[in-house]
Amino acid sequence: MTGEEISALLPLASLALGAVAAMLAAAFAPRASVPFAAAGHLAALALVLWRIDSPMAPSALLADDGIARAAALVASLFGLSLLAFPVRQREAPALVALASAGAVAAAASTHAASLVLALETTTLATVALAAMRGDRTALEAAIKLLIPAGVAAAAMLLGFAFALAGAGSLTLAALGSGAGLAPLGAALVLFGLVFKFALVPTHMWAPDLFEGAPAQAVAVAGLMSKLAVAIILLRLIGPLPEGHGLAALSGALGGLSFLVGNLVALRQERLRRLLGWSSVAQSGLLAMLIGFGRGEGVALALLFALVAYWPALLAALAAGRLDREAADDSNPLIRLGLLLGLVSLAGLPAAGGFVAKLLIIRELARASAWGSIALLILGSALGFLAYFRFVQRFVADKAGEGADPDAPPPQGRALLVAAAALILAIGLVPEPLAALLARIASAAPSHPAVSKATIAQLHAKMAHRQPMVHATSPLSRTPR
Amino acid sequence: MGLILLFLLPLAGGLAVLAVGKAGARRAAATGILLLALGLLILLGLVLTAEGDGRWLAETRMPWAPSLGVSLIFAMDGLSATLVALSLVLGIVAIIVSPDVRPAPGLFHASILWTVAAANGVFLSFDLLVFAFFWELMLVPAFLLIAIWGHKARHKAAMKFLVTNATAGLGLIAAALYLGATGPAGAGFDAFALAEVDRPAQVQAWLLAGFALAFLVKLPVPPLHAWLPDAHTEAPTAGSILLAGILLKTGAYGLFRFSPMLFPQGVVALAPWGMALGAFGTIYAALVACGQTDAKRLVAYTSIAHMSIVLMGVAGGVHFAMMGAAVEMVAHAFSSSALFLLVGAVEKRTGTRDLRRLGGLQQTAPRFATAFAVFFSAALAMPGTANFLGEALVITGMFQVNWLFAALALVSLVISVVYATRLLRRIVFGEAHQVAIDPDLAPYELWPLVLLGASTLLFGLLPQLLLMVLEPAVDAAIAALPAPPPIP
Repeated sequence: MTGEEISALLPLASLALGAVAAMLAAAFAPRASVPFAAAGHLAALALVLWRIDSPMAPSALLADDGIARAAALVASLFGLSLLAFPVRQREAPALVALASAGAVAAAASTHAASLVLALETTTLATVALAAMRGDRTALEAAIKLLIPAGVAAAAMLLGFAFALAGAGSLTLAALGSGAGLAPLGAALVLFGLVFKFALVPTHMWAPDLFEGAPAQAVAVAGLMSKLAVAIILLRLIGPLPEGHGLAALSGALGGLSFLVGNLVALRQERLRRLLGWSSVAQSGLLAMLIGFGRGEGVALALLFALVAYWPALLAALAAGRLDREAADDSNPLIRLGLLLGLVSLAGLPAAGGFVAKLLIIRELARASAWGSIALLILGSALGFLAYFRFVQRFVADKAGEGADPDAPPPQGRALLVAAAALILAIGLVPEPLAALLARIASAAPSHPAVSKATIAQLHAKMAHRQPMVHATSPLSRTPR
Repeated sequence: MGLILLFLLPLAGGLAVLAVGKAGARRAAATGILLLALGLLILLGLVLTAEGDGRWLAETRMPWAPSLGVSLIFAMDGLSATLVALSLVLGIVAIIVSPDVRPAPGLFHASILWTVAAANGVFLSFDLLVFAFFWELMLVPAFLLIAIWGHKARHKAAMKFLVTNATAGLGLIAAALYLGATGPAGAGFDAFALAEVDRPAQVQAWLLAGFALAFLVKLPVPPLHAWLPDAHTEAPTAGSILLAGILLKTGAYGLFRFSPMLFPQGVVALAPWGMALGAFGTIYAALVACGQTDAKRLVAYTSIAHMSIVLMGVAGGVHFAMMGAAVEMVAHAFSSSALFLLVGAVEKRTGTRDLRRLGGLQQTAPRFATAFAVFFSAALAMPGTANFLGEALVITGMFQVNWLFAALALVSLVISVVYATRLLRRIVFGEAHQVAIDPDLAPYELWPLVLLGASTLLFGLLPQLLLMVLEPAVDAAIAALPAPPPIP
């Protein structure tokens, strides 16, 4: 390994080290647990920024392209904010760091081995975080996450096995190669990803998890897992030729999820369940972007949308008094934070969600995907209804009521204020974020361009190697 | 820089008002009025120091989000300046007529300031995404105004208002994004640069349809008007004033400003449809207004009828018609906000807006009666009012384009006499039965009305004052159109 290759792994390593340190601290010095985990995240952040202009140094399993670096930056930011949740269990910081490490690795994965391992790391950390409180609802939420996650992982493993049989390789590129059983494998992997992304029709676990799990686990599922799966989906779909069946499928499922998510969100009476359905809709929007969008701007729009979603979700979770189901309405500050969060989720100015929606529509318009834009407008209309019902209930109807003097001071007030400020900052001054993401993503050539070349090479190799693969493939019954 | 202050001042001022609100309603109102008055002073300064190059009074350009292709491009001509002045004045009026608002007076006055700020942003922006930003931003404070301080059925009305308008806005956003994505490199979303691009007529027509969706819903023209009667009926008086005086004008302004500029061929293709829609809308709304028993709903339908005439004028595309549309925008802002103020004042005293229960105003409250008479005369376009000037110009222009549409506009004028006299007969004259309207107009209601009435008469009797200011914008819009629209 060269020095460059080692430095490419450093952000991931620092997160993993942070997780280990936080775990040890949980046993011996509980107070140091959060600082250790935070240090790991900060180090990862600094390393990503330090390597911003350094050349790509991919390893066999992990890419080091612009998207991987940008995702590492975003995941570290997410993780850092998740540590701010006041949680009693001392293992939580270690698990958050583990989830971050998993997300960073998953977003960089180009190979089945790293991809499945990394994704499962994030998922299992989420399951543990969800179950940790130990009461009935939390356990139920965790089980409801664990079982679909297991199914998804099994489907993905089988899919990669098919790809190996068909194309003789376990890389993501081999999945898209179309050789032998690879298309079936790709479909299975997509199925697994759709499961994890909570797209319709495999979305039912998400609202239950959002309702039952502690806020921190919800945020990990809604941010970390979503980031990881979105980037993997982009790596899988992005390099495929235009109009490929998988792209169309993921776009169509995305559109359906956006519609269904917003539609069912309309009927929700609890903030947490609203957020769950909103997460389904959000995943749908991103899948639509990945499936129907084309070109370099898609990655930027995707990352920007994920970052814009982050403070909105945090604000809404924090306003729900973090662990309680109903919104806390005793404090004007909380009402204002909730208002901003909901406006951002609905995608109206001056919140970050508006800019994210603009970027997504721009990519769809560039690809002349008019049907998906019409779908987006229809779904957004439902979303406006769903979110503003809650604005009405928790903000408008409570206007003028002062803080309840007997209510305990809101936990996570700092988190709420920071999230609200961030929502406005992204909505009003999007340039720093957009420029940073664009700079990181383009400093090293971004993935689609690279893997298009790799795919061409692979196709050449496949044509050459085909008979051998078939001869050695245990699944092949074709006599030659 | 001054242009930016025109919306930044009320936007940031809203926060100050919110903070002051804790110290009392009066102080919040005073702060709000002071800030808006300061905005008027800045506007005056900009107009007075303008370089005399004919059309543009002020321009500002600066990069904002280069990686997204967004820059801040603000420009002000006579039309923009008039509308900005209007929104600042009506913002002040809205604050003045709500002295005893409950609950949360700070948030109330802040919402008024934010609505005004967003409207000013709409009137000044020439970067399409910044325009879209202000366009959608406007909805949030206006939603709060209806949803928090509205009447009984406010929840449904506020929701209808927000969802309809925000969704229609997405049509504009999608078209704008397509324009930017297919425009020349480096143009971003600069409307001036995008106006130079020549696109096939059919593409222009589709893009115009996307823009027009947003504009026609906000205008609104039947059959896209369903949100407006409810929103007006349920909104507090200040909310109604802002809705009728400013929000509807943003729709007309957008149509006026961007359709000829960006899609000249599209306008040619869609103009007959626009005129037909306007003609249908004005007659339909006027007829429906005749059947209303709720005074506020009646005024709301008259608004729709008048804004449909504005649509006819803009779609007409000839000098008189467009001039008339521009004048009507201004005139309608005065008359309709005054009428909403009056109806709101009646409701405050009697608790009802039901025309069947009201009556005999001239016996108990002569000032009320006079004000009603003046502003309903304006609404039926009595000569001497600015409304007459606007409608007469539109109809004159329509005769140059298509006599049928001109005739339909005239029919609508006749119907407007019916509903106006009907309402006058019910409320002002007749017996003072069931509910008495007492006391008469208070000073805080009277003086805004005097101001609005004086403006209506001033521009009606000295039309050149207004025409002179609006003319460059009208000429520019017509110059952008390819040839005189075909006369069928």
